Amino acid sequence: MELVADNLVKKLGRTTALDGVSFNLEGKGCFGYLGPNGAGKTTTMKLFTNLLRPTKGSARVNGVEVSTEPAKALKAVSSLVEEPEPYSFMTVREFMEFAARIRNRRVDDDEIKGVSERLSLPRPDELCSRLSKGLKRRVFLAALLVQGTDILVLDEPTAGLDPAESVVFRNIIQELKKEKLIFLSSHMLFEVTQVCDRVTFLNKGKIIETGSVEELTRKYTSKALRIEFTGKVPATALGQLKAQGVILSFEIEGERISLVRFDGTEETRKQIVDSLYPLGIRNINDAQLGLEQAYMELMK
Amino acid sequence: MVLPIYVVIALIFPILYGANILQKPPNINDYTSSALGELVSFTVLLVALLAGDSISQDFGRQGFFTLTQPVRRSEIMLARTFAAFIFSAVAMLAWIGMGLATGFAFYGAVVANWALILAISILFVGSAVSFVVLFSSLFKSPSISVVICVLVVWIVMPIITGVLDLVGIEPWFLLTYAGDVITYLTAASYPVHFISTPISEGSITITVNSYAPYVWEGALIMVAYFAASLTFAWLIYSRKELRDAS
Repeated sequence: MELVADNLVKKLGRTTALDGVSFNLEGKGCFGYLGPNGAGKTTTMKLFTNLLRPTKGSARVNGVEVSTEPAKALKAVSSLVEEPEPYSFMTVREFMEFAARIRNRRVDDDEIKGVSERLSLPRPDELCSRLSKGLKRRVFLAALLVQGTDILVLDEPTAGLDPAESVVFRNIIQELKKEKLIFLSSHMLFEVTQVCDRVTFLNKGKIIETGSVEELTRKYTSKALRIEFTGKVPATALGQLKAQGVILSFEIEGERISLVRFDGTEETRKQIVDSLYPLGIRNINDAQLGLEQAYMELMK
Repeated sequence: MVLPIYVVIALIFPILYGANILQKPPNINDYTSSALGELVSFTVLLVALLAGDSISQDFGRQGFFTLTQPVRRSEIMLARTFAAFIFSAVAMLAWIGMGLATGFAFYGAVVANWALILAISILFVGSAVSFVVLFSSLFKSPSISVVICVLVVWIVMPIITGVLDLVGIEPWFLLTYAGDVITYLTAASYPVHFISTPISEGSITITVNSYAPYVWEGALIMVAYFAASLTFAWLIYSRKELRDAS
């Protein structure tokens, strides 16, 4: 199970949607692909599913290049990219059976029933054309599950699902990632934190950071301090430190608490503490900002 | 829905003749010519409605499923083309079969060229399906591709034929022109290739030209349409990207 992006470049008209993206996802687990709208997430997913062809570089699935041997490369991949729809002329059951059959699998009634219950699907004999947008998406997800492939490429899979459905789907991902490689794009950070093992941040077509959720959280958390003062937050003093370039920014979170961002070095940290200590510090901690803050920092 | 309408149209003349609402033509050739008179244009319409969205449907949301499966696009295209061909060919042969059978019932005979009519008809369906598939590969919206196909084969091609007749140029590049072979084969003697008829009205004289394709010429045009359309459709379909879908 392997997905390799090798210096992927994709130009869409005059826009460079991807600019030299390289990564190697190997083995079981869930790999998050994070970035704002227009960062190039969907473009990457489309390159791995033969919906787009790279301008330069290659996207490979288990060593097989997708653009030159798509039928071979896609044998291992099921995907949900953008807003797909099941075939409107098929019933829910027919679409699931067809999706499995195209992968040389047969689904029995028990499997259809099991997946239907987990995803709260409509009746199996319901025509897909009559379903709402959200239901169509669930049927599509169900079809991916019955395909039984080793690799899942999921582009914002919970978009359009209600909160309860999203929870169910995240639980399914948690289970599936024990056996499969899941490449999941999202801009819902808490979702990625919950289900992904590793995360890649993408912005303006370039990878800007890669690591495990824990590593990234730790790395970016260490660049901020949450300081509790004995009295009111000395906004003037903090403003002076900012003007001097000692701190990058600060936020006042309450009458006595301030969140201070700095460059992360021990030297600066000491300088901040030394400057503010005479003003009365009750408590000082590395701020637990989490991945969301890391994301915000990276996207600046 | 399309097929029953097609069958009803196919039965109009045999029923009108059978019920003596219209006077029967004097011989089997004229009868068959009348029974198959609209065959080509309605078959082309049937093909446009059946295959007009065969490729364009993949450039919408359903394409995110179809095109991400481990199946070559050439296989998908050929399978759909073949399905449309089989369906259309069966419908067209049914129309011809009804024309021949009712002709036999009324006159106790069938036209001499019946086997050639069937063979050319199958070739015609193949070329019409390929041509429509090519159009389908050019458009993203299935409904637009169907409408454009219908406009091209039902409106544009006949207009071009009419204009070229006036200026005396043979419309050898039009599929509908090639399809006329089928009706001409019902005649007792195949029409001459070119007729120029001057029509005078007072001091004004207009020359009306009329071309009838040779059988081999019609067949060649159909083969050329079949090969060229499928090749171009495949080139477009295999290279087309899904940048966004409506």
